[in-house]
Amino acid sequence: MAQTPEQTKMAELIVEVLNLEDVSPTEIEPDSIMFEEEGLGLDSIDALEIAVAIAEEYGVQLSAEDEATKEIFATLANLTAHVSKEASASAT
Amino acid sequence: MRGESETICQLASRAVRVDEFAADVAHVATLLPKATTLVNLASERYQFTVLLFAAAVAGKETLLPGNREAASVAALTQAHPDCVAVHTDSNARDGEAIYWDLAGNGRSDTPTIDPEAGVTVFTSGSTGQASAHRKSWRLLDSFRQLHAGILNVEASHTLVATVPSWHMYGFEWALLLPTVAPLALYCGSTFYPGDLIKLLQQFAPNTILVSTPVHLRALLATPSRKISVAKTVCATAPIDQNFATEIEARLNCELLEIYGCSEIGSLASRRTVQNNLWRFFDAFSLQQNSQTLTVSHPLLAQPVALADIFSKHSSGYRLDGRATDIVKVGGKRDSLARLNMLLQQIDGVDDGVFYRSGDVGLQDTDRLSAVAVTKTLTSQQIRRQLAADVEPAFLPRPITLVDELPRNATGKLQAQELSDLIHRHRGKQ
Repeated sequence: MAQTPEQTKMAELIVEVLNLEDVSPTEIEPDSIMFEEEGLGLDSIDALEIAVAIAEEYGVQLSAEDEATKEIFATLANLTAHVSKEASASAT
Repeated sequence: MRGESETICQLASRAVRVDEFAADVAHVATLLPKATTLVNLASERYQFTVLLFAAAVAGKETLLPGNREAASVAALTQAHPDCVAVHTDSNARDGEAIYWDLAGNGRSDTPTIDPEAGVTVFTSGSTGQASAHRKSWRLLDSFRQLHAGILNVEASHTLVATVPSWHMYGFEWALLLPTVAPLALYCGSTFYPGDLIKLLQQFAPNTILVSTPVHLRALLATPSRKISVAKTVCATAPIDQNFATEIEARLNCELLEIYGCSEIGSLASRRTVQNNLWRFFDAFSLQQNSQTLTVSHPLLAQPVALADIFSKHSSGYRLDGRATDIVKVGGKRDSLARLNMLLQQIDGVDDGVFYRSGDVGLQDTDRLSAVAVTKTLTSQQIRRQLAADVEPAFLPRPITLVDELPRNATGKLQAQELSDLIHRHRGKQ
């Protein structure tokens, strides 16, 4: 499935933050698992670094109090949707 | 020991007093399985703590795996006779589940720990090759008193830890400390910087923050109003004085860095902004033999030779580097030699090595990178192959593909040549 422009922007942020110089942002499938061995092999430190970058870029603080944090981070599509929702909620 | 009515744990919903904690421990000690050895898999901090002390009171051994994946836990329970995994979550897993009413078990006599029982912490890292370090409660009791003296807080404080209690550092500085020092362990989530900042503001200024360079970097990168904590403790990897100064300024506190090894635990500390030399705790005797520093303690069966190289100076010891090729990422460890071997064994990889960005003059990222020679594979395919044997923290990023490595006649790779090669290639990307 092709990335939406928002997903491409998030993919660029992830590639930048994690030094994935050998991965092109557009290669990240919106619905495939980013963490775990099969995906990009991201772990909890990566989640932390991504959370910091998202706070800088979108002004959105991820919180473990959000239900299903794991699902939010599972795929590019989920993460993009969550951050867009939070960003628009804080803008209003 | 602490007064009965003092707070020992701060749950998200309520504070738990020392006497309530003792009653929970006494109660859970009667619920434990018959097995002599338990793998404690409780994921919530308070439940983990109660289960750990309950096992000690019941005279049972506790195993704390660094890696809690189902396969690793199964291997662990099989490798130990009469061993069962215990958890407190409702989602079904192998092992036995124990449930109880949190802090709802009335009163009991103060339960007594069996000093001969012990806790074994496994250093994570190489899959299936974790090394075990057992400590008796006699030793743990001596160490927790020692650490309380080092931390030296008199009034009540909330202890906020970003490290899990089942790793050695978190076990000593988050779980054990509140049982002897006037601290209330915060048991909610501390993972995201946003959550952490809210907590530190909520409990300010009477907070002790127990953290790591990785978490502190994330905290400093997150904007917030000024935060005041009483003290910050940092361990797992040494930090430099600039970073230490930034932390002290931002958190308005003293930063105490701890040095330790997995065989023993915490060994030395430094107030990094004042002095980059380490002061070993008085309880340890030290012996320097050429480059090797050996540490002994009356309760340790044998002296331990440290893997790091130290040199002695008038006001302490300077850490000069690693004596082995062990690499640490996010508190986990693996060996560069092993990682290189795994990389070179991949079908389709003709040659390759791991390296640290900082070692080749690029910005240090806390991460390993790799360079590989292959005609058939992409870097993603190589990473996927490595993932079968390597923890995610050690998966190299980026993997730069090259035509060959500049090995010399003896097959050795010169640091400078590797550095030049990497600069040529990464500069192009």
